[in-house]
Amino acid sequence: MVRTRTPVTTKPLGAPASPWARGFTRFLRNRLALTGLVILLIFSALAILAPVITPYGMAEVNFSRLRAGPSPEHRLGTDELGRDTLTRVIYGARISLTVGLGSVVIAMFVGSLLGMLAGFIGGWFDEVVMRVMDAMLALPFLVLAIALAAILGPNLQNTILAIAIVSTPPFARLTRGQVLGEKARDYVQASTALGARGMRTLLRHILPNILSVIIVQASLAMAIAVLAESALSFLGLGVQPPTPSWGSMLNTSRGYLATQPWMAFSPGTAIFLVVLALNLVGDGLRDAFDPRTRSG
Amino acid sequence: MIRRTLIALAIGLLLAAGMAQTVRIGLHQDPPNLDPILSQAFSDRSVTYQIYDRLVDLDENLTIVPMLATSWEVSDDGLVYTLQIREGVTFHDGTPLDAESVRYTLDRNLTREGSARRDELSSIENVAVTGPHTVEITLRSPNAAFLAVLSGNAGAIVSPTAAEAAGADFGNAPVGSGPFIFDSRERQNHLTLRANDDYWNGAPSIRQLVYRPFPDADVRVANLLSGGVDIIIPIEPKDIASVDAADGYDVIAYDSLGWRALVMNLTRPPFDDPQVRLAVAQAIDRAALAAVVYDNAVVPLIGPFPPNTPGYDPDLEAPAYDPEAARATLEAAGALGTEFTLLILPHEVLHGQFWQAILTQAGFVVQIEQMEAGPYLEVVNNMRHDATLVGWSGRIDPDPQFFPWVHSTGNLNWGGFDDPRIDDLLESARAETDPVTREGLYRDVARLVVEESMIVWGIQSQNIVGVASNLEGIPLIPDGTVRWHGVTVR
Repeated sequence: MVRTRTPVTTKPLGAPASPWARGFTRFLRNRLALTGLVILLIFSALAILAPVITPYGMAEVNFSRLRAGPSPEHRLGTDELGRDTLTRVIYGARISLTVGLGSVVIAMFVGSLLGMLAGFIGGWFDEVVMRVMDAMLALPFLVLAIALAAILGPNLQNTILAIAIVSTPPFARLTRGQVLGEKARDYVQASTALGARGMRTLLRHILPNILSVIIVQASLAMAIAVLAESALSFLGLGVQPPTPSWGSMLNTSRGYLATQPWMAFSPGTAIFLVVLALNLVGDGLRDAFDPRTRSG
Repeated sequence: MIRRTLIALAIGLLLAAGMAQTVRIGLHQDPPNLDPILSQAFSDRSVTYQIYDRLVDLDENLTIVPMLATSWEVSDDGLVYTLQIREGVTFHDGTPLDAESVRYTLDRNLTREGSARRDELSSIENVAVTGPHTVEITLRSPNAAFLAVLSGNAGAIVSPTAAEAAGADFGNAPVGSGPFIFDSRERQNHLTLRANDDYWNGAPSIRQLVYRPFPDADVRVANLLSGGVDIIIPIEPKDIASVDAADGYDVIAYDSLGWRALVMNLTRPPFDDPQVRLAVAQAIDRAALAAVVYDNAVVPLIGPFPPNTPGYDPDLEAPAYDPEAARATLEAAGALGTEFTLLILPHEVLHGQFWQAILTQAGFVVQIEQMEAGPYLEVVNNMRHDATLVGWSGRIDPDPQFFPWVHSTGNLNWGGFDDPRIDDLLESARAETDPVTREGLYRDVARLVVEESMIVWGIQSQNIVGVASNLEGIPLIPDGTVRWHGVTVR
């Protein structure tokens, strides 16, 4: 404990360690969060290296080995068309992580921008933006996502778009609240008093102060987005066959639960691990960076 | 104390007896319409065949047998059918069934707005009542399929009194003369029929039929095996083994009249090219299709007429399965890498992926697009698809079996057929009275369609039901609709 506090107190001439550095250190000391991060890194590596490390082709069928159990040739068994489950789970990571990352990046960018402007500008703009966001929040998350995916048509881009749209309101609400809080603080008033224009104040002074909160929200939103992608694919509204998605694999295996239970095991475990890891990382980031929840 | 026990016992026995007399049926959908003139779904017939008697029925060998018509005579020119109508039959509303009821029903079938029966009966010129129980039907042209049509909903006789009173709402208050009487229904929940004790062929042994819809095949099986229902129609091939293995449950599988096939849009690329279609035909491994998609519960089929139906041609030959030849054919046509979208209904995902896999091996690039039935029909009826997988429940006569799919005016012409050779053959067959010549004409059409790979058939469908072992005497009629009158609960 002493070791980490030392720099703060014994470097009178240098700048104190930034809140970022302190947060990062706190995060690294959180075992659960680190575990989550490792799981995510493993799945990311699998997704990126999929074509190199998978033993079979993604859509390579083998009609003489239908719904086979785990074996040395097929470590996680095969599916209803004799495709290798291990291969498809690894390729499924690409879809899950792409959708999770893609939709949250869009939602974070759009939602934060709208929220910041609404909080900073206020007035009618704030009213209009926030009422629209409230209206979207009034609908259940998944129902709205299903409706959007159905309207847009099922494919990868539209899945990302649908989940991005329904993930936007929480970002907008969060950043708006933060901006309203920061606006009243001395440093903002000082910046304005020194003649900084609105945009400069918002982006150079306020944004860095609320960024950590946005990032925490993003990591938790990604867990929800991965789960939403699985749900959409489960309902046939996600990526289309033969591209594997954990959700669609789970839907197929549902029909064989009584006879070939291992078919459900692999995609189910993959979803569980990734969503758990994202939540652990999200919790860790919140504990590390969000001043309000920090204990001690 | 003893008295109380006895009363409890008696009540228990009564309940048990009551339970045993009720048969609960799990269907794959809530029957959309119980009015015979509006019904278009296979699931409707599970119900309408119990409520209404038809003029004639089919037996297990697909022979046409008397039902409300006790006998019939056909004039030598094939134009006049004289039907003797069964005496002493009353409708569920108490009114008597006579020749006039038959005339009313056929007239209703032909004239009522939105009638789905009009096409099937379009050969009728006139229906005359020539005696209290005699009807004379005159046709415009000979139609060898006519009696077969009367074995379906087109021959289901409705109570004129009730039909007039209910008007367009008759589907919600159906009245016929069948072995079961419509009792109550709550849409998407249950539909109840009760036994008709005055039935002309004897009161049915089952006292009550309760239909429940389970669109999800897995939920359907779970309800059967947990005792929620006594029979499910249909059961997916993949569930056959688990239902068969379960104590107290059996699987009944019997030939149907229907098939599964790939219907290609012949009006535009890529399938306007016969060579591209030949590649598809050479790529299809029907044995693998039967095994992978249907757990070998079905048999391969190469043409429109399954072996148990007229028109079947044992000498019919389709392009042989040869994946290398398929690729070579596609390459020779300069069409390697041809992209197309395979349109499917949501429950056909495995079937669709099978075709996608084999056609990918042959050098096609196949996208799958899933659509619910409503938008699906909109697309295929307007020929906005490249190719689609279809399932057809089948008809016993070659004309209704095949005409709708390949005649330029057919109402299921989703291939965009407009071929004078096919139209001519089908029209001559319709007018042909000699059954052998007529069957030969249908074989010619089938050969033409198969030789040029205009439709690529995969398998003959099976009627597969999962049933509690205590149900006895279920007749295995290939049209797939259970007649519950003679069934008993052990």
